[in-house]
Amino acid sequence: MFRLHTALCAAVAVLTISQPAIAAEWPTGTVTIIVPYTPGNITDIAARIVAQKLQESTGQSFIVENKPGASTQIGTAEVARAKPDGHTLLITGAGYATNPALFDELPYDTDTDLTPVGLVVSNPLVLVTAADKPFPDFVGLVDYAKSNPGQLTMASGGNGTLSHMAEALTALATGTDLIHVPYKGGSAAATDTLSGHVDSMWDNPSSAMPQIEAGRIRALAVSGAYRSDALPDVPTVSELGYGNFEVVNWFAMFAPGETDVELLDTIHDQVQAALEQPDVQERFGKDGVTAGGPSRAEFTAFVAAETEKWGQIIRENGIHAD
Amino acid sequence: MDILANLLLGLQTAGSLTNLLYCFVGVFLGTAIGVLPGLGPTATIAILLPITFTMGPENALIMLAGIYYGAQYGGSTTAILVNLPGEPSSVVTAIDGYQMARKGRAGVALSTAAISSFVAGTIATMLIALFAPILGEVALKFGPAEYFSLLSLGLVAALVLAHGSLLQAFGTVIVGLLLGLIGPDVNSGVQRFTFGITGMQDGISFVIVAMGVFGLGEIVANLGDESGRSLSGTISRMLPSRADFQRMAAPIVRGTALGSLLGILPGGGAMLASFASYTVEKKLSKFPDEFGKGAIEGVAGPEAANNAGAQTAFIPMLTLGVPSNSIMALIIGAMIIQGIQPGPSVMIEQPALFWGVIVSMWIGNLMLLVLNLPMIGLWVRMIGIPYHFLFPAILVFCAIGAFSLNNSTFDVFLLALFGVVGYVLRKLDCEPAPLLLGFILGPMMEENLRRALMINRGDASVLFTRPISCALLIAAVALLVMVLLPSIRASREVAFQEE
Repeated sequence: MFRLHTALCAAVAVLTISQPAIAAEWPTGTVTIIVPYTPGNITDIAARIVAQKLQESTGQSFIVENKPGASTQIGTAEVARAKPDGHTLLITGAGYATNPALFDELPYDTDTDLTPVGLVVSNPLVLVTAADKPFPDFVGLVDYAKSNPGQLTMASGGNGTLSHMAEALTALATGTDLIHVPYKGGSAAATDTLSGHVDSMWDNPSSAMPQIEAGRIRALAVSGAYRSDALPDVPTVSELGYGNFEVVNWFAMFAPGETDVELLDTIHDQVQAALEQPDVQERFGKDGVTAGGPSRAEFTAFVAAETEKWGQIIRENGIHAD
Repeated sequence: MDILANLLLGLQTAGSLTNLLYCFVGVFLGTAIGVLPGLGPTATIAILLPITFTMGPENALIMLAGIYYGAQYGGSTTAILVNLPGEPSSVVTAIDGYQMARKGRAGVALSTAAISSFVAGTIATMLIALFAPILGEVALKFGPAEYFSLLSLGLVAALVLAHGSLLQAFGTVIVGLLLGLIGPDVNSGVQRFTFGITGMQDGISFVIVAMGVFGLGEIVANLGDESGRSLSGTISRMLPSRADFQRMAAPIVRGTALGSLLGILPGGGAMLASFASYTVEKKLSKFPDEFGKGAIEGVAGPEAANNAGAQTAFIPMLTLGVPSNSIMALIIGAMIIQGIQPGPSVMIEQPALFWGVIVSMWIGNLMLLVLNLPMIGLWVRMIGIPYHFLFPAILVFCAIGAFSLNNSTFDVFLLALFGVVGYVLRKLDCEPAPLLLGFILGPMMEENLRRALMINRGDASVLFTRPISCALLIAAVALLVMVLLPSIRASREVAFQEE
């Protein structure tokens, strides 16, 4: 399950005890889900699975449209401009929380033009290294980085991506000097990590698992607050004593800012119901991905917390996005 | 024999009626989108991904693979007929293929392309069946340093592509390099030369530059030149003559070898292979003067190379789960939708899928040949259409293609702008192919050089201490010398003549 800091939950619990929403009519026609990424990546796949399930449960058509470009800005801006009638929705990732700090100017305002609906899928990242690298575990990697400052390379899927954030946070939490090597996309970075051209990388379990199982790469740590069910033997960074280290790769649904609250709740509940179906849970579970999330209010608080956390790291490290 | 049992299993899978049907649908769609300018296999596969939800994994993969290599066939058709390369790998085909078409040998050029592709596809499929696991590992040997050196070699080859002045070729390559720099810098994320325009934030699409400088530039130049309007000419024959076959046999074999090797490498290997093949053929040919004026070797070699490369590009994906280009990444996406996580275990856990896809590639290539040969007559008649119908139609298709990339009108304006660039280049006697090559290779070279330096803490010696990288750089220097020597001599001769 998705977890937040307990303090946050308590604060948010008050908000959630509101009167039960009168079921708003939704959807009354074709719903377009805009995905600001290229087709075939994990967000797109998640969106398509959700769309298919919603189509089955509501009997209306759900269309997934890929509007990639400009670090998700193009697709996000389109939803920000859409009619707030619940028929144009956005499924995007952590870029939603990092873009406000990464760019001086965005074609939308996350405070007013868009509003969170709910979490779709989330997973921790896993720190991997080629099997022949001399770091048996996370502590070994940190020791190496400390005795060889400015030598250890860590790949990412590009500047301003979540794997870059995780790299920056790793350097910060462990007090090491890492060399960040950005790639154009996570799969190119994963390839060079697999072949050992770069030392390490925070990767998604879904793409790392087959290589871990084949013994080609080694999992050193997971980035969540808790261990991953898919990798039960791999410790979290926090439990190794490097403070409050948490990086979650999340993909969530957002709606145009003026959307009616009742309508938002209806959409949230329908989406969560679709995600709770056993076949969906199983489908994502084996890749180390959690489907579904908390209440809309809790999730809204989570997005705010993420925006704050990554904003600070981006500003402190002077990170620019691709 | 293990391999025979495996191929038999593959034949059983690929030979089932449903899979044959999906294979046909795939190659047919692929050919169609390859012919349409702008609409590439990436977009098509993306649109069709949701449909694969309901199919079995083998059906889905066989169809998507068919679209991919089918598009390589179709892309050469427009490159030859109307000088519109739809894919980076058909840029080279446009050089001599289009000249053949202008001489009334469009039918021969098209059938040469189809036959070379088929032969190359057959050989490459056999290579995959025999050596896929070993070759997959080769892909991993290529790190940033090796890529930089390989791309340097490619850039030198860009100079060979030109048949006019070396200085002009050099100049157009540089312009191409500069155009390629537009967009975000990979290392720092800083925007370069975008002038704050949102439509340029991700750089300029290859398709727009290619359609603009090749297709539109050609159309405008033709309109301005009365004699150039005879696109069709007299069409003598459809199939290559005996002499043609003799001239294309060796280029096909060399092209297949180059394509099979380079196709394995992630990141545009198939495209580099077609450039490399052209360079090799031009250097080895007994008729080097014909290159750029309709040499059949200039069609046969590169076409064989790009199709072989398109097949072997599947090797890293199937054996390691490593995508070698954006289309392979999409196909991985399709596998994930099916609940199969591509990785080293696919070959062992899903033998029917693995071998089924491989055998289907060969069946698909056969289908393409059967599908395309009879179509040639039709295609050739198409360029007989009067230019006042044909040109506007091409323009409209190009505009639709440009718009469909990002659903953005800005891209259509950019297309028009590159049409002007293409026209100006032609008026200045500069060829568009080196520009396009600089445009494609420049950013990749920069990215890999900087990454190689970064990984090695700024130490450039890594380019020479790694054996593969060093060998490639030596080859690049050797090629450069080979290119420069005759032209220095020639320019001196010209200088003497002028005196």
